[in-house]
Amino acid sequence: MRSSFAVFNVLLKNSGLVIFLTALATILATAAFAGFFKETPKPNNQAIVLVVQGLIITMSLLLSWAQRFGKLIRSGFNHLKVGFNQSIWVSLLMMISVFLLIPSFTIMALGFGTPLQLSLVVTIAVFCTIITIISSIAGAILMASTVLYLTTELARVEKNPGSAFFDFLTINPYFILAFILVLSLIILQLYIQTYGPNRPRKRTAQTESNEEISLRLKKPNALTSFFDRGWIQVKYQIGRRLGAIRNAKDIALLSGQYQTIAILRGVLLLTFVTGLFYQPINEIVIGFIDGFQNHASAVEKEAPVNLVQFLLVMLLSVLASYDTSLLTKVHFAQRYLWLKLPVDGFSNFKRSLMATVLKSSLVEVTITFLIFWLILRQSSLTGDYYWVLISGFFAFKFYSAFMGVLLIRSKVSHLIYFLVTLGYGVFFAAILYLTATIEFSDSLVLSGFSLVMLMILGVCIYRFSRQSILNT
Amino acid sequence: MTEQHISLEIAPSSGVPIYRQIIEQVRRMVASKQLKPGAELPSVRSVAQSLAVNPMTISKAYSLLEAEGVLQRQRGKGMIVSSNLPESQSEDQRLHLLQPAIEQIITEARQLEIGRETLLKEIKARYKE
Amino acid sequence: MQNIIEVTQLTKSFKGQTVLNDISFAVPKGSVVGLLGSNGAGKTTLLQSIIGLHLADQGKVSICGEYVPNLSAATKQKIGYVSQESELLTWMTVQQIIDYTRSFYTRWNANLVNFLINDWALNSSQKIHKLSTGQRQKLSIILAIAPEPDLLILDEPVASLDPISRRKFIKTLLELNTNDAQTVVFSTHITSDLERIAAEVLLLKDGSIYFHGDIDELKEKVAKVHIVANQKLPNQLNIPGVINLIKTEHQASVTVENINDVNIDQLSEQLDANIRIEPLSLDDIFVELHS
Repeated sequence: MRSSFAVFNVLLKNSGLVIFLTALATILATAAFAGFFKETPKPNNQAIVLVVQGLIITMSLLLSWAQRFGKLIRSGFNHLKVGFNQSIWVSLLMMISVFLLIPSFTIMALGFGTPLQLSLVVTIAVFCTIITIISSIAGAILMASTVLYLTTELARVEKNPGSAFFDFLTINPYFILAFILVLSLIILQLYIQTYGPNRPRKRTAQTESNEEISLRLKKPNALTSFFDRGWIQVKYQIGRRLGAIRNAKDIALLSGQYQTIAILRGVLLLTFVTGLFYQPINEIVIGFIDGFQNHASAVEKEAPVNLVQFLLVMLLSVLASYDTSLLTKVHFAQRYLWLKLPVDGFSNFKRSLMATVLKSSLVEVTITFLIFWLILRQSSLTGDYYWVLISGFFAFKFYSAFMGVLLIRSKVSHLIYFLVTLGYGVFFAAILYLTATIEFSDSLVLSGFSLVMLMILGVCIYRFSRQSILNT
Repeated sequence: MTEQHISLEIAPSSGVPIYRQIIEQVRRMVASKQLKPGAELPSVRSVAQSLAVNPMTISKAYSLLEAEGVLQRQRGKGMIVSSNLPESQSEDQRLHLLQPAIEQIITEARQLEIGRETLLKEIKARYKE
Repeated sequence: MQNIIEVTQLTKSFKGQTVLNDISFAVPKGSVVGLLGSNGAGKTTLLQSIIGLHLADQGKVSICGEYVPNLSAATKQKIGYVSQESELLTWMTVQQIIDYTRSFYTRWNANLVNFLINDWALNSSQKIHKLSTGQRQKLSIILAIAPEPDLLILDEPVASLDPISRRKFIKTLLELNTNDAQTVVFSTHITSDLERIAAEVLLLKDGSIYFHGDIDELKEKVAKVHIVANQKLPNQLNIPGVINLIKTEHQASVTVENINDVNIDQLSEQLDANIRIEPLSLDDIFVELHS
């Protein structure tokens, strides 16, 4: 998730125009989605699918806004910045409008949905937002599990004609609604007391948050969360015991990695592996696999975009987006290791560092690919579908790696950031479209695209190996 | 002879270079017989350590004092106070040591607009005590 | 004496802005050099260029006879560097980073590390991200001097240390310098520390070397001449090497580059004035140069 957050952060950076464009693009995309479904109506089920899709989009947008908001108020110095209040209000307004607009659009376009369903969706979105302000990893996990739960619901609804969403809840939905709302308010209140603008401030120049959106203080290498640090520590201990972390370079590179995405992927891996061997135990996985199997058997060729496809693309993006934190720490690592590493000469040093980065990138690609492949296997997809998804994985991976390379270059202008990010969105939409009208030739196009990206990455690596260590 | 303990004080932020401050103080101690001829001075290293200053500074001060004839280098022992300090020169020499203090008094008297006669009278009166 | 650092005509600019302009100097082995300059004078860039974190636009830097950045592993082991913003792996504990750093070096003075950890009241089981800025700086210093480097380069090492720790640090540095003939190059704003430990000072102004030499020499040369005249002072005072001048009708304060070039008696006679010479501390000299 981290890499996509970084995209949003950059996208939402300061500029009012960019914010406007994003909001417009979001609304248009949602409207297009809704319109698309209105044209191909298939009562109840499609509607449910659409609500879930709306929820996913809502939440992924909310996550990014909430993260921005959280960072703004968490850093003890941001309130000194010019335009701090505006930023806070813009973030809040965007959050509110996102979680009101998207579901409303969805439901309006379809003429579907009871007020209860709508409010439940919105409430879950609010709750996710608040949790995300506090911890992005908790928010991401909550979002993932909500999506998985809704999938299970869908599977049940499909198996039992005539039933509707949330019919299988044993607890009264209104009660859940009230509970989540109250809980959210309490957590938010507590959080603002602890971190909000009125708390007594430490006088030391320390801040937890030093992302690009917050004030730059003298700690560019601070890790954002407790989870990140804890996870690295665990990884370090296990790696050392097992003898897997032998290399000093690995440790220096490890240090900066945001571990959120790794944890999320770990959860995915665990879920699917468990689903593979202990089917009866894990209801969520069953629901999920049901979804896949329904899809694979029935609607392979004439399939419109449906939930399973959308989930596949979501999974694809989680797994296939490159973990840019591998790159963000390269600069730190080379500065840190330059005098320490017993390597003769400048270019040898650069080469040895780059080798380590490439090695860990290879590990990242391999592991995420394995997880993705495991999912594909369980979904028993075949033929064109299979190959498009596989080649889509690599295309996505290399494109996001290229974006990561651009993100860490200090000389790249904001315009380029914006264009690249826009490209990211277009690419995402294209894959979504491709999964609707699958042909084998699509996989060839995607493979070609991957190759081009790989070549560009090669050029970037070559350039990097000639740059000075402090490149500012 | 045992190594004498001498208490040197320095003010790094004053305009006077540290080595000069040390030279002044040693001269004064020798002149006032606080350091007797033949007395051994602490080593460069120990002075540098206790004052937390660069040893080069101390050794520079010692060398200049040696050149002046106040100190003598003894093989294997370090610096001792010169045993043949010409006694006859000492009044002049001692007066010379007072120079900075006199300058200081004069400057301050001028700033306070105290006349020369008043100042001298005050000094005479004080000196009798 | 052999030079451990040699810098020849070093020029470095960022985005068209020249930060270092034609800098040449050498640091002999075993000396302690203080680097002084206002904010943005190029101190950090100079130190970073010396150890090869920047590639020079023009000119050359060599350490132990090897050209930067093509340093051999053996030479790099001889360099200790503490950056301005302490760079540590914040997720580690103090003990973990000590062990980790140790793994890079063939030489490691464990006794010194233990002594300093206790002396500076660091808790070795504490997580680094919980340390204060000053504590992190202490830790960075310990990690840099533990491998007993021949050359120690410190970028504002004492900026966030309290006076007691600063004094302790200075003593440690001096001990290393006396016992092991370690060369120390450091930048600082705290001139009293510099006056204590440095024998040489390198004064940077706008990316160029303004003065390089003995601190004592600088202090003996640069002085302030206070003139109180009985008559009106002429418009032009005939004084060589004026750095700074404040003048009213009857009085003037003149900071001069070299007091030995000024003939005080002659000046006093010429202006019918009372002249007093005020020696300047490094701090004053620094301020005078920049005003």
